[in-house]
Amino acid sequence: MRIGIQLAPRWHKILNDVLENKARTILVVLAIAVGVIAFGGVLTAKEMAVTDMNQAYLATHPPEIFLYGSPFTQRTERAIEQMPHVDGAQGWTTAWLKMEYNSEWSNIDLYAVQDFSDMRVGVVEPIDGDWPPKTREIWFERATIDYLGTAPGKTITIELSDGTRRQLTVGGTIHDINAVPPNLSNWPQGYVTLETLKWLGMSTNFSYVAISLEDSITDLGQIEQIRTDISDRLERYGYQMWGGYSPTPGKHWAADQVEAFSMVLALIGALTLVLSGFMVTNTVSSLITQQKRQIGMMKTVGATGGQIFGLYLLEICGIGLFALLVSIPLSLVLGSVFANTIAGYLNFDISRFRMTYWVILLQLAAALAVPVLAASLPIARGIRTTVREAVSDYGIGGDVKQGWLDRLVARTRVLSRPILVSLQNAFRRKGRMALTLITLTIAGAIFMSVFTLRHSLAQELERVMSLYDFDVEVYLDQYYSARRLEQEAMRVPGVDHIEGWTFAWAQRIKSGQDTDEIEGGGFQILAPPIGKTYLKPDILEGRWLCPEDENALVISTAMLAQEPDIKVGDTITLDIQGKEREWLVVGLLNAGPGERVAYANFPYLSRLTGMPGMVYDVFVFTQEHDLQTQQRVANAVAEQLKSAGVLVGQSMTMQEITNTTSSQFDLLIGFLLSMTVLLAIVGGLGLTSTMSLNVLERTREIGVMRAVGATNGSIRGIVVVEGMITGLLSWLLAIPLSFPLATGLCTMIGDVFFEFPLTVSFSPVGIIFWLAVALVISVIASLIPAQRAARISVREALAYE
Amino acid sequence: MWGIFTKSDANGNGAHDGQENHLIDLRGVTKIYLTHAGEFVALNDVNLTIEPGEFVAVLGKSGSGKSTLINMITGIDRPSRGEVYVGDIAAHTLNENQMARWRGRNVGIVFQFFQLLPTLTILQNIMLPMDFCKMYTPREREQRGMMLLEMVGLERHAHKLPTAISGGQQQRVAIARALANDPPIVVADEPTGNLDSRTAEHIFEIFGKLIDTGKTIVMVTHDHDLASRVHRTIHIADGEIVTEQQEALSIAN
Ligand SMILES: Nc1ncnc2c1ncn2[C@@H]1O[C@H](COP(=O)(O)OP(=O)(O)O)[C@@H](O)[C@H]1O
Ligand SMILES: [Mg+2]
Repeated sequence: MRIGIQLAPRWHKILNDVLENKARTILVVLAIAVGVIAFGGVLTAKEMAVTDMNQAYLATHPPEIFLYGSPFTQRTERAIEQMPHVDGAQGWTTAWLKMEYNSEWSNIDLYAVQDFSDMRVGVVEPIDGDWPPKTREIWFERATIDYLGTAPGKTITIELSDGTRRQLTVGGTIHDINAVPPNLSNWPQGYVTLETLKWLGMSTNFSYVAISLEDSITDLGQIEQIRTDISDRLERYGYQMWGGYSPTPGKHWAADQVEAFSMVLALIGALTLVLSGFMVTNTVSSLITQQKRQIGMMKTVGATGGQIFGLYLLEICGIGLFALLVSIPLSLVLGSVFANTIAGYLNFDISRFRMTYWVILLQLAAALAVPVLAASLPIARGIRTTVREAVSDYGIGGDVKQGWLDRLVARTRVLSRPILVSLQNAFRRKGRMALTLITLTIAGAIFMSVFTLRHSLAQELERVMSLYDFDVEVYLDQYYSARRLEQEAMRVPGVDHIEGWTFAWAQRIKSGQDTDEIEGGGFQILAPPIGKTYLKPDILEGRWLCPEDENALVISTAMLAQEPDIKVGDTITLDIQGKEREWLVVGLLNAGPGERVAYANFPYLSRLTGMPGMVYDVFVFTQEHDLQTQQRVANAVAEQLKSAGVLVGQSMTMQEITNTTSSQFDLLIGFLLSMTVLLAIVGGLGLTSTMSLNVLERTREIGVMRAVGATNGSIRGIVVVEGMITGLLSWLLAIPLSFPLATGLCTMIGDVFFEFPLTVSFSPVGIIFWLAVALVISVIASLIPAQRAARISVREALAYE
Repeated sequence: MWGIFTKSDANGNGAHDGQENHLIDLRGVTKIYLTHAGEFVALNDVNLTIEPGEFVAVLGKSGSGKSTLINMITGIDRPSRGEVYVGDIAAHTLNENQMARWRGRNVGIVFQFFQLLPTLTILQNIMLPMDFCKMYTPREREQRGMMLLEMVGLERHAHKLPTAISGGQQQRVAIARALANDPPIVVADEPTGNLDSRTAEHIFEIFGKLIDTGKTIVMVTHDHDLASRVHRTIHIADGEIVTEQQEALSIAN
């Protein structure tokens, strides 16, 4: 290669090194690039997704406070708006009903405001249709439109709790970023006016008021203080207050989870980057070994060690910069795909696909620092070569010491010589082998861990579901006598038995710094018939309830996460329908992801709420447990109760809940696996480079083998088997490593999504799967080097010096 | 101990092209290398026959084309023009793969720098050609390897690595390896070039004994002393076979 312009000789040398072995340069560039892409892509996605979801959220004028109480009307809205620090108040009425579209029945949650064109807080945005919604119209969230497969202009049927049916026209589509999309919540939400609710015959009192505070108030503690104040005032005005809560201010409800999960992915990305550095180390040390003579020569003509060091380092920086150039556009692509997937899932939009300057800076730093660090040691070692050493090595192979492995295999009769050569070759360059193995092993261990995570999630789901092994849950519209419900339900064929629960909203009363009392978060107390209930509580600490308990309470882990100061044995004060009572926390249980609930004894709670012996929630147990039976019985029980005059709300079957939840897990696993793919690519590139270096350095030996009768096939075989030995070994090493890694991963994912560490249950699927993947990777990675080895002729090999 | 070799068929195996039964027959072999400076003629229209059982020494100064010539015989290199017959095979027509198989069974090669595989023990180095060419049963391979080592007087070192023994010993192992598949022809390129004269003498004695068992040996050497003790010497200068006088002349120049 002739360069037209006049270059200083040292630049010439750099260019020659880079261009001489293009394949080697390309492999290194690719590996660094994949590392930088993995790492930068995730951060880019995180930046785009979190920024845009929060921005879209803030644009809706989001509420900092939700208050539940009765009887909330427009007057309440106005009253709250007069209170200090309040910027706006928006009352919402909700109704939990059933709907039919295309002769399919499902639950539907209706949300209503007084006037959609005059929303103050948590504003929803029209997408198409004649805004604002009119009477007898239902508007859907855009995600719901897709979920139902409906469109503006179509008609849906709503069924009221007494069985009455009414038709609503789909008026248009809106976007409500605060709504949990139906793929997560399990069923659709519709938006109607209060007029429409009145026409349906439902109460038009607000179920809750969403309150937005002045922009300057961002501290959660202060917000809770204000919430307590507002609640107290309303109570003094004569409202009955049920409770309230404040979400993390300024953030979309899923922002923290997206951020934390991105960090888990970025961690894998960073690991990919570090491992790509190992490949740089291998390549550079081979280059230096090859150029020992050149180094000696440069020294004889007066180059200092520092100059030579600088020369090679410059070469490496050039390669790093080149890799950066490749990775910047590609990490934007990866980031956009990730961000778009998250946005699609959580129902928001990425405003613009863009790079973030600090991510680019980080990528620049990584693309330079990783290869430079990785190359420094081999370069430093190489420039210590003395002139004499450099010019005096010749002949085959250098010195080989007989290690324990060699002695072990030396006497073996089982392995044929070619396999022996492969096996021993694999361990000739121990340092190189170690770095290659570490890369592949970590990729394998993470792969296995992801499968273990998947299995653990499935097990966890199954375990939680087995705690609730009812078939159908039916919510009622008001309290009914348990005995009456049982009589009706037992008439339905296929019903084995039923169980009725009651519940209540509770608000924790904490004593504040001053004499003031502060309300903690609100939560639900569920009260099963202790001693008779199907519920098999998963008690982590303390004890479960017993039939004699009065004010005993068992709290859930998710509730503990919200109120971290509570300990088993503590006495806490709860406000239930205005009645402040002391409760004794007797136990802690795992109620499943995000279930902020506590359990109490049925007789005590139903007396406290003034509804002794009355239930609100009915669990039906069927004789068969398949989806069809569950659905049939769910409908039949609802019909039976309605015909007996019971006002029935929504109902759901166990199978429906299970299916939705597991599809959410698949998304997590999908993200983790795509990161593992990048890691595996770096592992494969590392192995390819290792095998190429091995072949390059053993040209002479390969020539000799050919001289004594090895065919193309035998030579190729020797190289491929060497690669497969490496792959197999990495698989073996990855298995034990996957145990602590999987535990770490399950803990992290558990913390992010479920607020408690997931119980690890190891899956052999990942182990078996990776065996296949590792073998495929090692065969692919060694094919090109093997082909190159097969092309080596005896003459070239012996002339090679 | 030398009985492990099959007596080579002194008449060669079958004829080619209806010619007389030369074991090795080079006809009009020319080898041209393409270099930066242009074409370089390393062998120029060489005709050479070698009979079964002959011990032939190839002499000539460095760069004259000795290695190129014997690479034609071993099939390590192929002629630009001309034909190469070895036994009943037209060597210039085989592809690399066929060549490797054929060579493994029919031609043993000894290099100047021994070229043993450093990771394999001495015994394994000798067994390697048998493995590649699928000769003998696995049990026989080991027995045969040991007998070959005995033959070159190195049986005590069977399980050592090549680096653990001296250069002369390594060369003896290389000879044993060349004989692993009992080839009728042994080709050696300066086998004593890197050894002191006493060790060289030892190697030469081994070759002498191989000739007694009926092997055909073609050996490149600088050592005129050794060369004078073989059946025939061939002198090469500037890629052509010359008479001794011509060679003396070319050295004088
Ligand atoms: N691959 C090659 N390319 C160019 N020239 C070569 C090649 N191999 C050998 N030569 C040249 O051919 C000539 C003969 O080489 P060789 O047969 O190795 O000589 P020697 O008699 O020393 O063994 C030498 O001048 C050498 O430089
Ligand atoms: Mg030579």
